[in-house]
Amino acid sequence: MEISDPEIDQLLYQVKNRYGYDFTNYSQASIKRRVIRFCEIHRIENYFDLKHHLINDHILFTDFVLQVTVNITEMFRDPSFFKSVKENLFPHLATYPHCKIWHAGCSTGEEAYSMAIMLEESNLMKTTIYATDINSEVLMQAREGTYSMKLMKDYTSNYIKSGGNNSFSDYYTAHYNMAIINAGLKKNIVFSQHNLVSDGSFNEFNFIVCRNVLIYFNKDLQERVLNLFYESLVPLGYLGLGSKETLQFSSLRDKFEVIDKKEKIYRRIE
Amino acid sequence: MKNTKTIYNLIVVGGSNGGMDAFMKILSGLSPDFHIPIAFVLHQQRGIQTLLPDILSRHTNLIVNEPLDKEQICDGHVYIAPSDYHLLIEPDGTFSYSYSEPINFSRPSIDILFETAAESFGNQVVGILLTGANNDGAKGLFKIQNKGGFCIVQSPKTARSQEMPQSAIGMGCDKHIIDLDQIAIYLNTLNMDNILNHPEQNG
Ligand SMILES: C[S@@+](CC[C@H](N)C(=O)[O-])C[C@H]1O[C@@H](n2cnc3c(N)ncnc32)[C@H](O)[C@@H]1O
Repeated sequence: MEISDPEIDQLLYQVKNRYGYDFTNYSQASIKRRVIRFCEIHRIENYFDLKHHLINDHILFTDFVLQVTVNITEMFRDPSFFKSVKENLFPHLATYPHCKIWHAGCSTGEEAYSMAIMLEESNLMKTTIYATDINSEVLMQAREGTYSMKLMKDYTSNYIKSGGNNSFSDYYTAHYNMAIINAGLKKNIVFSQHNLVSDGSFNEFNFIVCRNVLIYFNKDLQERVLNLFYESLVPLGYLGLGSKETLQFSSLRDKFEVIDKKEKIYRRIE
Repeated sequence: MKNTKTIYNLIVVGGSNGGMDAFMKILSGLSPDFHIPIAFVLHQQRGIQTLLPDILSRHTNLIVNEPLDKEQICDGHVYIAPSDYHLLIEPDGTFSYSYSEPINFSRPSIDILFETAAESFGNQVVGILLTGANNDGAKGLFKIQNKGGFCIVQSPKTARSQEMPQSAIGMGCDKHIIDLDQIAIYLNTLNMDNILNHPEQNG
């Protein structure tokens, strides 16, 4: 199925007016592919049907949000990132009486649980993790913290490469073919809905982790979100981006210093 | 034959098995003043791609790098897709990434690079499909052709694996089936008529 760029623009504009979800500043080539994929999944064959169904069918729209955003994630994705966080950031974070970390775009929770494990092993127990996403569906799965047992082998290897000190299997209970994350790890994590496009700052953080979310946004929207992060960081607070993401092309780059160039870890100056 | 009035502003290249050697051969054959930006997807095992820019730099004077998200496509660069992300071309002439599902069991997928290049740059795109043991890239190359771009397929007889070029030929991308050692020569003549007044990149 083919949809033209003006049609995509029009569709996203109508979605915004109808539901308040604004995808108009997502990366154009990328969102277009997602919309076409959504049509294929639902066997929608032309633009007019798509527009009609989407505007009238609330349940279909819920799935639209889920499908046009990319939710794939893992535990300890990019072990070198977690390693760097542990080595370069934790010693500083440990000097605060209480720490707040924000995982923006946490998807199904794996990244936040990975952080919780690292914090526990470094005795940074007085830390609260706020994990947010646009998507209520993925947040439900995140709160549940139940993942396929099949993935645990890869996650164990990621955990070891990240510098984990214990045995990864201590952090979950196997139940049939599912791995249930320990309740202890959930204690300090608050999962809640937050839309980076339209919602504002809701707290002050020592560390903001937003990985593999900005790649789906165009430069204007990235700028908005980076401003939001800047405002939400304490002075000398840290920002961790995904491995392909950068502050380099943003006007905010002068307000941050680079802590780890390869791992895309920055610190708010002053 | 090629339309000499078109100015080609982007070359996209894909390959899998044997693709690395083939691509190095092409790079080594480019003339010293060659400057059209090139983006390359090679199917590889997860993790290996990080070494590619270093290795390829030894074969060319062009700047070889893995692009960052929203990096502007610039003349004189060879951009290498890293492992495990799809690389896309945006209409404003920047790259973007996606961690969406593999396509044709591949991430990065050649089809995604080619299709987004065709949609964003239309007839200014040159697509080159090299040796490979699957059919990723054929659909994308066909799209480049449909949008008026210039398509080159490595001749199967010079390809280590024939499936990839053969799939493209099967789809009708058969106007320029070229032996590997001739591809660079072909590229060197692109934009020839315009070489004196090469315009600002308008992507
Ligand atoms: C690929 S996942 C990233 C998960 C994890 N951070 C990682 O790197 O593996 C991207 C997430 O961003 C979320 N997202 C997309 N648009 C968003 C928005 N406007 N506000 C908040 N989250 C958003 C998606 O729902 C998805 O869960």
